[in-house]
Amino acid sequence: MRLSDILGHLDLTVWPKMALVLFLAVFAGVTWRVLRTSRADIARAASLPIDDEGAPHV
Amino acid sequence: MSPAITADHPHTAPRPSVRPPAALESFSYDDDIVRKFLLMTLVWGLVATLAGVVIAAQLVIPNLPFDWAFLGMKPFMLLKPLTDTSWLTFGRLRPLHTNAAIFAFAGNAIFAAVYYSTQRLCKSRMWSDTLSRLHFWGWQAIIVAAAVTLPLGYTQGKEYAELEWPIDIMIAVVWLGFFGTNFFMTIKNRRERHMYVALWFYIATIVTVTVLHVFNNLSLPIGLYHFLTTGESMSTEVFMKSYPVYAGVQDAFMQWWYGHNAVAFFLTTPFLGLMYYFMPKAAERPVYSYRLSIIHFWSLVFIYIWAGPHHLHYTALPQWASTLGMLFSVMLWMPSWGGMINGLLTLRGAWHKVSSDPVLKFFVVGITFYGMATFEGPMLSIKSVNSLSHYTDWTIAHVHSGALGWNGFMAFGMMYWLLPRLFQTPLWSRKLASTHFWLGTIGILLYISAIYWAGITQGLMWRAFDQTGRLAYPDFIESVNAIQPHYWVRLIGGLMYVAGIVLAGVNFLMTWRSRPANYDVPVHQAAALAPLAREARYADEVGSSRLTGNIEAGRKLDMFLQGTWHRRWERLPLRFTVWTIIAVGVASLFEIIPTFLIRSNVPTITSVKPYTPLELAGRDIYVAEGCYNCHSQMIRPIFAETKRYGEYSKPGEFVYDHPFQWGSRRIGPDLAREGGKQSDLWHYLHFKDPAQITKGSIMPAYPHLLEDELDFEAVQARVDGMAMLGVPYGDAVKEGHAAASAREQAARIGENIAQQGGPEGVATRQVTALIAYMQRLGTDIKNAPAAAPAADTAKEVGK
Repeated sequence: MRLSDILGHLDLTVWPKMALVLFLAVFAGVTWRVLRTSRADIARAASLPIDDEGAPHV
Repeated sequence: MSPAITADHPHTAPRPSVRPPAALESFSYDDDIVRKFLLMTLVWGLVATLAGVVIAAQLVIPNLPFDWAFLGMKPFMLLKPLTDTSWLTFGRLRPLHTNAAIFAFAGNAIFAAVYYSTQRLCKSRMWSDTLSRLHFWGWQAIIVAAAVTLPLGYTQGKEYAELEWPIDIMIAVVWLGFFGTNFFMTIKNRRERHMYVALWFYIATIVTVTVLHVFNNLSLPIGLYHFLTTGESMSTEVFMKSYPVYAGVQDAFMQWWYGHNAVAFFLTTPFLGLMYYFMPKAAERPVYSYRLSIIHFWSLVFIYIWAGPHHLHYTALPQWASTLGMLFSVMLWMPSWGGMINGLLTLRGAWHKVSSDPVLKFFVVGITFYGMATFEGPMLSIKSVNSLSHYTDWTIAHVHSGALGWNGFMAFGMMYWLLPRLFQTPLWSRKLASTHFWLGTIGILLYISAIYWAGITQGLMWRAFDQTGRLAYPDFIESVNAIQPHYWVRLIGGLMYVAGIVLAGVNFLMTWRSRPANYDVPVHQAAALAPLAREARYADEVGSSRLTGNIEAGRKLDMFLQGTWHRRWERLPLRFTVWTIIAVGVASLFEIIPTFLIRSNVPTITSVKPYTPLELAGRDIYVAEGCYNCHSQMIRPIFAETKRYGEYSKPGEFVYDHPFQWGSRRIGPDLAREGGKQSDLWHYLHFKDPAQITKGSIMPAYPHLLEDELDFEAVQARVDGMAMLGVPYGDAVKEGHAAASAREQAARIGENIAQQGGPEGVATRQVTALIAYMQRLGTDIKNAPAAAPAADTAKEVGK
């Protein structure tokens, strides 16, 4: 029996279902984490692009 | 959700530090490289859209009255070469148009955005000026190589991955070796601890495009393989030729895993990075919700990678994969709209500026098109909608609302914002920029409304039945004729969009001419990042516990719950990158491994045999001519399709197809069961002049196939390449056998054509090989023995 035969008979259809649950869980985790980050940290990060160079020539 | 910036929460308030301040370092930004990329964005934008106008014209030109004379001249005859010149045919130019739009126009825009914003967000010059230049010149060389090879017919035959193996290697080197190395080393040496969300989008872009590009382009260069095994060198055409290692269903799956994620990670994530950097700049206020931008990022990275199979609904792809692709596509709607809302609401309190600032005009309409396209995408991925829209021009309208509206307008908005800053002089004409905006907007609306109409018309005509239960429009050409007016309107819309770019070119040139003799290069100062001491990671750099009386473990748990771990990631580029790769890689493997390993996904059909050497050579001509740009080879199990084309396509029919040629649209009819429907002479005359055979046909003529000799000696290299990939060719791999077999079959077809009233002596011409391939298409299952395959077919129906 070849390796491909063994792999071919494994029931791998459960993989995508596992992944769906896994990804939803991670997504929920990220959302939960983001909502808990302090306002000050968020505000400082958000301001990074605003003050990064001198006066424009416009 | 947006944090208010108040006196209580000053965003610039320094945290109390436990370390003495580090010494300041001086540095300046490399804006020369941004100027270079920005110029080429404009140049390639013009080339890509002009190529689009040419191929749009090719779909209406064949019906022009060429014999109409005016003052003794026949003006329309000047356009005739666009219908029958080998290197100008639609099948060869359409890949040039798409590759130029994606990789040349959008690519250079991405690089301009990345080089400008990364340096500033990192408070650091790009790590290596040399790598920046190698990246710039290398990328332009790749584009030129594409512009030369695609019209010559050197193609892998997979959409948006047409470029052949030597160019693919160049892309990998330039993208990861030059661009990626330079980018990641700049991030590593940055002087700002927090990596702004735009940088995350760039990281996701670089790593994911690398993975997609490498795995979708795994192929065997047959000329090189032949040279290494026999020492015999072949023609340039054979040297450039490669076969993908995947075949049929698996090749289709890999291709659309790539194709969809090229949209995700080349046309979406980098442009979102661009939006999250340049929109706040233009609006002069922070992004509406930084929290939302983080959720936007992770949800796109997690979800997008799954969505590819929605390009293959009702095809021979296993149903579970198709359904999974649909579900994840629908899920994509929410994060995409979260991003759109985040971009638009960044203008809170600044909407009055939109009417006067061309930059904001482009951004607002660009982001609105992002919202439209990301609503429409999930909708089109729903199977019932897809059954109507797939293969029609609806997809083309969808793509252009994204490409012209989202990518184009974000690129032009960025360009108008950058021009005065890069050339250190006011923009030459804001009025001209506004005119560009209006020309572009009206152009897009004309284009997409006409093509939506065309697409839905096609879909409805293809599936319409009359009262007697017969197809209402049995001749495919009826749907082609019905949408000719729409094609004309599209051409006008496209020309307006091009005219807008020309105006941008004038503005660019005139602004550049007003530049100072020497650019001012400001020197900035910032402290280098101190290494994160283990104890400082929690206290100084990433916040502290709110608990005072607890044990150490309790305080650490509190900091974990505050999300300190993610803030550490955000500051550690390597780990952040690794997690992004894991997110993308896990999703891909969860989908790809079952597709490749579950045997029942591709039930074998015993009567399906490899192509004969001549048919294989003909198939390579089919690929080289880009026939897949107009013809599908995939009959869906839908009644209107089986009625029109014949038995629906089975996965097992494609096991020897390196590459698969299912196609994605039908400008012409499906060819999956074309074999045996027409005589050899019919095909010969049809290739000679399709309009003579089918009145109103817009297919190009292929006189060169009727005249050019087939390279019979190269057939052996083709067969050997396929055999190397596992196609059971038996004796045909023995030296000389393939060529002899091909000559023998070609002679038979030549005789047929002569006997049917055609010309003598065409057996050695390229058209003969192509006819051999056409006559083979979809015929194998008709030869099936009665007993065994019936069970196979029953099994497939359940998949």
